[in-house]
Amino acid sequence: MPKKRFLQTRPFLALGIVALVWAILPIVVKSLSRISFYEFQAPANLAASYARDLQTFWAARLHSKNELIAAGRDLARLNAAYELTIRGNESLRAEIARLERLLNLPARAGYRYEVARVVRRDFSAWWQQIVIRKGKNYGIPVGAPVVFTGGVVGRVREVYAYTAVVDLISSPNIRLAANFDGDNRPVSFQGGPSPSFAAPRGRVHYVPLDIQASEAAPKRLVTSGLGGVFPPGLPIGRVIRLSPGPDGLFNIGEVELDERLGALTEVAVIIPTSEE
Amino acid sequence: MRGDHRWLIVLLGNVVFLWVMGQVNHHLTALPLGDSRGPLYLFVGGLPIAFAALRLSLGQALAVSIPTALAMEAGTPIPFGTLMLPAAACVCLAIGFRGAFNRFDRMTVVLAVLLIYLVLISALTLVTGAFRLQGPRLALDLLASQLVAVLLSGWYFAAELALLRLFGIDLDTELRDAP
Repeated sequence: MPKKRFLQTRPFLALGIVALVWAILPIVVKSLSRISFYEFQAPANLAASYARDLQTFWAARLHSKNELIAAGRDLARLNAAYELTIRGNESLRAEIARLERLLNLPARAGYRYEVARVVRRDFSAWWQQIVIRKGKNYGIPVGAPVVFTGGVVGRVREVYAYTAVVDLISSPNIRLAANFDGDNRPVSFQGGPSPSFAAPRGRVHYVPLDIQASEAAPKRLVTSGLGGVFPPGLPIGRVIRLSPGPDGLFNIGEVELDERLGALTEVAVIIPTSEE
Repeated sequence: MRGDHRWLIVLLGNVVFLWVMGQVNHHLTALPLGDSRGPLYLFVGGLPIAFAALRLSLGQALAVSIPTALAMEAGTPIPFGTLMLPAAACVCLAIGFRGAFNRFDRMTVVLAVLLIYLVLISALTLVTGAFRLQGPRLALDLLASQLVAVLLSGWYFAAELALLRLFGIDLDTELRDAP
């Protein structure tokens, strides 16, 4: 009988030992284990990503010649339009540089874009993140902003050997300074909550009381450039609701983010050239 | 446990299962719904923990469940160990009370899976403080995860047992022949 009692208490004794060992384990060992567990799984995720690319390639090969010719013609038109935009941008850049010299302004921070494929998307209620296919091997720094054609994607949280983890702006632990388009007063944006079966959402705080927005007349929210992480003017989302905050001094509101955030396949990491 | 590497075989099965479910979640984020698309997240951690708790000895179950939980939380923003400790607690509790229920009964497996899911998801929600902001979403994700887990539990247990049989370990025969 005593042996049976011991057998019943043994699991709880083991649990106590596990908890104690984990509590006294040095942080270095835990960090090393975390990296090891992640890197061990990374090749499998990368392989799945390459397999998806191959699948897309073979799917594209099924298109008829006529479809490819039409796509090529459309691309040629787009390229011509982009050429014109590039020329316009070059002249604007030259004008900015001339004015900066004239007014003795400090030089603006330079950036380069590192385009990366998305390996994995994780959209849980606890966190929203993506894993991209570039890491230390491409000099991706921790904290670098990530963008796509629709605007801000998020910020690089962790960088590993061949991959990096990006916190999406719909994640509740992302906060950034923003502006309403055409208004230079700063407001605060925070990700979440993201409902199921709906576009991801965010919240906006410290909105001046004179600014109004509704679903019928939404207002565009862009990055302010304050804090130095995100360049100014990048689209964040549309403010679809504003109501007075608990203090009565500012409005708070709901931001509808780009629904394509949930289906990203390629993003660009903005790397400040000063870091290189 | 010395010289008995069945925990490694089960762990291998778990890693493959986690990878497959990771791919499912990857595609679920882009789930089209009419003109819009929205995420539904399937938490997959409960099944591997339930198998270890119901079918393996204490040492083997801990040797499987601890690395499985650590693998699940390695790339997430939560503090490392957040999922491992509740997972180990679930295993120890289930093994501690094994004498009180028939662990081979289908309903027991389903009940154990549901309870383990509830404990792990509650632990994650407490740590991240997501309940205040994401209550309805969490409830829906929990329900969907539990439903999928219950549907997959029979297949998953059979797959793990078959994997063990590939390496010459037959858990059912061992238990039948046990004194």
